[in-house]
Amino acid sequence: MAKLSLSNIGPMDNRIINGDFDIWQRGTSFAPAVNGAFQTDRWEYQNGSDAVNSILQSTDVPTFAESGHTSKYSLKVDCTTADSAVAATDYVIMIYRMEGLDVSPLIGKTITVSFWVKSTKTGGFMVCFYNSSTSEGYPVEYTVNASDTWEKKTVSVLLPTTESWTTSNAVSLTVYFTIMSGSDFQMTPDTWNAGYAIATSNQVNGMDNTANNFLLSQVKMEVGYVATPFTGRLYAEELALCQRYYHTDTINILATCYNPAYIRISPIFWKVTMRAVPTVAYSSVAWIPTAGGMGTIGAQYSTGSTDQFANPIWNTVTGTEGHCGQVTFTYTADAEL
Amino acid sequence: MSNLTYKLMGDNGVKRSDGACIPNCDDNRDWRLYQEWLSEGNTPEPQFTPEEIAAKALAEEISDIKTELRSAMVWQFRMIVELWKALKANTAAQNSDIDPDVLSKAASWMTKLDRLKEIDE
Repeated sequence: MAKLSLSNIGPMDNRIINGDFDIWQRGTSFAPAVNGAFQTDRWEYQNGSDAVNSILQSTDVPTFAESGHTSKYSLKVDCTTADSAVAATDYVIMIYRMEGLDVSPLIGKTITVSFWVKSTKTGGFMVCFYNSSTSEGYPVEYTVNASDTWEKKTVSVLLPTTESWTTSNAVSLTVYFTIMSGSDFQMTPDTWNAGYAIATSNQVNGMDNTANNFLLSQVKMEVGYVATPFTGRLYAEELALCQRYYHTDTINILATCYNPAYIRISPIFWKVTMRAVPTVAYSSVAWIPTAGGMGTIGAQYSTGSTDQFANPIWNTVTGTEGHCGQVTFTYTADAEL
Repeated sequence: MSNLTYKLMGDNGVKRSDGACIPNCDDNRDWRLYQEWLSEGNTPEPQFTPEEIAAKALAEEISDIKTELRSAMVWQFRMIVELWKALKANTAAQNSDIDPDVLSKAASWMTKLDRLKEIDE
């Protein structure tokens, strides 16, 4: 059993990134939230039901008197279309994935996840842990006692060395916060189950009424059995941690038409080294050629490496070889797990 | 997101129909989804459509012409020199007195200029 010590008390002891929901690079209101998409940083929403939800940045947070920490925001799942009949394959979950490089120091140890939850629906809810290959899951039950009231919950799990844990930059440990689960995904609590286990039969249907809300705040994962008080990180630290997985920026840079059909810009470094070579999406692209350039910008074809754009290229229609111009664009770089 | 399609980007990966450029990287979540899409029997679009290939070819042709016309300045200088030589020798400046290469080049430039005018129109 891990002992509480100075080494696991402090601002960096939380293994969850954006557990205080300070970082919302993609926006702050998603209505409706898209299945399989990220809203607040590092947290993915999955909905395999007929329910419809909005994911919102909420200022409804536990008070300092309650939690001993002042949060600015919480994550709010607001049910806007109910699904009162839970089919066997239905599910609504919030997912947090950790890469192997961060899970490696946790293998063989007990970890504790603490969080504050505020749910309209009372009764049994789940936190479920998954191994790298999602071949085995470990559901842990907790109970929401009072409707629409902030409550602190704590769950612990041993990450056995016998389970499959990736230790690279690929996905390793996954944590599910289950709001609805059909019977196909309900298994035995407090043990590693083979199969897709995200709940037990005690999971309530958090989607059975449009009045239902489910809010999370101050999510913390630490080594050992003890849930120590939540302490936030410096904002810049938290943002940089998130940017390893996703970030956006607007660039204004000199570009050269190196071939009549293409323009090229100097390499641009990402804000931080990314987890993997990211998916890049461009928007608001404008090519402002100098005299004689007469270019119109077309489709963009460029990704890069984990550190930078690699030879960013745009397809132009009428650029003049050798001419320079100015390119402005906004990009998103997405290396989420 | 299931209605998304993909287009090849050469060795760089694929471009998704929502505009995202997805790298050829096994650690990339979107690349793995693309691999699943392929395994379902789907086929990506080629890197360039016929229209894009035609536009690229036209742009290259324009560039080639402009490059050649820039080099024409050297030949213009040679023409002037040739004419100056003929005049200095006080002979009639007939076509036969001028370097055949210069004449050939001049004819070629006129063709290129006509082509540029045609494209501009």
